[in-house]
Amino acid sequence: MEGARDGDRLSMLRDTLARIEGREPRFDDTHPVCREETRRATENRLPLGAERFDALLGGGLPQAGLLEVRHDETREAGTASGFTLALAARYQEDRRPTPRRSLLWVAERQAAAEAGLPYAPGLADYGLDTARLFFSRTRRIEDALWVVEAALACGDFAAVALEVRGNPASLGFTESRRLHLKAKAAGLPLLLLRQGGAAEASAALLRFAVRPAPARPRRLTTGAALAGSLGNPVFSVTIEKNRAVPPQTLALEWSAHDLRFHDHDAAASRALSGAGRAHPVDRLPAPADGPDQPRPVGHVVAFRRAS
Amino acid sequence: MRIAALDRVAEGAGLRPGLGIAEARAMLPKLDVMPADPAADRSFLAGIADWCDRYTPLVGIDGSDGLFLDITGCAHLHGGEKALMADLLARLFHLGLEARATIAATPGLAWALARFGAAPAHIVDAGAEEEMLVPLPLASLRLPADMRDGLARLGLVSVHDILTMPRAPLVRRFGPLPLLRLDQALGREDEPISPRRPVALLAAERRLASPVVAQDDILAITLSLATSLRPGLEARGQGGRTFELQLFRIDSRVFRLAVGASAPLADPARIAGLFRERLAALHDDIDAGFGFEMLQLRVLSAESATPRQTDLATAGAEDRPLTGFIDQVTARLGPESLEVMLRQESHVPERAASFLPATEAPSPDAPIRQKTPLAARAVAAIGAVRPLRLFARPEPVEATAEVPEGPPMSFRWRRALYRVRHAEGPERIASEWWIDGEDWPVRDYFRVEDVEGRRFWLFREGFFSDITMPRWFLHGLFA
Repeated sequence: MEGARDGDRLSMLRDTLARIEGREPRFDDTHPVCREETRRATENRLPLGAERFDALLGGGLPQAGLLEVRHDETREAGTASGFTLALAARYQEDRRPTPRRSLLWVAERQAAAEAGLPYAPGLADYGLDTARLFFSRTRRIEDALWVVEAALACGDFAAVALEVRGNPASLGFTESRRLHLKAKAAGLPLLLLRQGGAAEASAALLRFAVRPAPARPRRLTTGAALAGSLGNPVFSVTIEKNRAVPPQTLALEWSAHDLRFHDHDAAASRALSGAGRAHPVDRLPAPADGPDQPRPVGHVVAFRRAS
Repeated sequence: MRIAALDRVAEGAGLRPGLGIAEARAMLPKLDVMPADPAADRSFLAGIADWCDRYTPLVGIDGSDGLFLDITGCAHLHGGEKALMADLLARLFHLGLEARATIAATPGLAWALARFGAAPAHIVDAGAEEEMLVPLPLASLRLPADMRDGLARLGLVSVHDILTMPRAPLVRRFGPLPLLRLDQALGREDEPISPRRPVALLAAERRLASPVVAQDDILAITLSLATSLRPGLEARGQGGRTFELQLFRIDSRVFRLAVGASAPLADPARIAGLFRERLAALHDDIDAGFGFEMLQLRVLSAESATPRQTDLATAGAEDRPLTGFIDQVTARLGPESLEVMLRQESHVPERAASFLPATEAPSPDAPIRQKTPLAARAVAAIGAVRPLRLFARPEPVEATAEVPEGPPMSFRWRRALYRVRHAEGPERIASEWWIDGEDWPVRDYFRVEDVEGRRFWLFREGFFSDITMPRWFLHGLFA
């Protein structure tokens, strides 16, 4: 009896600590009440579509707060902005809390000049509603932070992205904590895209380091892969900061068509796109008489001709 | 060098404008000569014109040394015509200016009496126009010098002389101008004054007994001015799109702050909020000095603000906070700091999208924002993909490519070497000859992936030939 009460107090203390630290309290899944709590906690998250990745994040991305995406070199800006924009597209598409669809992209003028300006046709191909995307370019980083704060105060956005170059002194830990708290209070996700910057202490809930990875080859209508082609982009994402689990690297594929990520099996992809192998062919011809045909499963590899 | 202007002492010594400097020095050895600066004179006159906004919104500049003030309907605000003129002349005197003024029913008569009248200040009563004008010389009719000489040769030197003449021979000989000027001065012909600045639709002002310096005080007064503008806007069923705050500093300098609203605005708190952002952005550029003695809030442009009817489907999707945000950012950082993207009907990548200040952009639901251009649909139909980020100017790269039209094998961009593993293309984009002409080189675009997985958009400009090597450029980055 005494011990059970101690256990209760311990779990209550853990719960309080978890709340202070801003993470979801963990519950024992064996108890029905706890299972309900866990379900509610994951319901508040935005799943990305990739199961393994979502599991690492505890069900998906948080609905509010600061998330950081960084990459090591400026030449990888395309990859990192792609990952950030894919997250933004997920938030834009997510209509559970309120039907807010506007996005704001705030960039320091120099960052925008160094890595290129956002390009509306490309963004539309990528799955974003460009009619509701606002782009703000400011001369100084302080102005960019002010715009972000004004946007968080306004609150009428699906997500706000802030792009900075490197590790500016005027965006240190204090400022990131301030932004995080404001975003949390506004109930908005704030994506910080750090161009060519090192990992530094920040108040972000999650920090992703993004590296490029070979794209998935395009799929033909038969389901076969077109060797040598560039299909859906793939990112190699390291979750550098995550309170729940230690850092891990995963490959994610973004599908602009269904606006979701897929877990990407690097080995399988290499097998598909690797040079020297014969083209994989389908076991069955493409269904010709209707969309309700079962999709062929797996591939057979054609042998080299003997002669 | 000749004398352009001189002071009273020099005038007393017998010097005249137009006299050579050498002759003048001979007459008056201690003469102090300064080069004339017409540009500075003009800007000084413009400063005084700004300052005169305190009397009337309709201020016109006349030549290099005069101002027209249309005080119709304004005089009673300053205690009548006489009091207004006295106040104006007294203030100008304290600024160290010697000024002459006339209040008359027509600009022409006021001009004539202010320059050629006997006293430094006149007020012409109704009905006395002709009597006042008649004794003046012909120069008072604003006639060009050669025409005055021609009239003088005929013995016509004063207004009286042409007023009593038969009109037809005069017109035949000198054209319509002398009689037109005469009629304008006497009010038989209309003569508009063209104001320097757009006349505000509505304005409210506050004169202060003791000048204010603090930003909070300025904002509080702005708020109360905006409140007093509200009934006027509501009576018209309008909301302001452009507002201007004029700050009259005690030493007669005038500062103007303009803010724009993305939607018609009549709410005083939001109008004052825009000026708060504007002031916060340029607090160092406005020098309050000893303080501002008068503030004036003007509505420069307005639009009808009929409350939009919401239907049930879009209820709740009210974009009010968003317009507030747009105005706030625009007021503080300028219209270029917040933009939206507009897709254009063009095949040339850099023309297919453009940026537009968010304040001027049509609503996101407007058809022009929603529809996909035909050119973009054609691009999608061939399965081509566009990059996420596009460089404002394509960056030159050194590429090794298969001759004549193959994809690049490797390229050097920003001093780093990239080995291409996969390439898609070419996608040939030809010139828009109706804009660029026929000479614009054809571009072959390739979508390439390097060995590490970075994806780029490269193009070759032109073709291989015996004499020219085509150049390669990097135009965009893919995800």
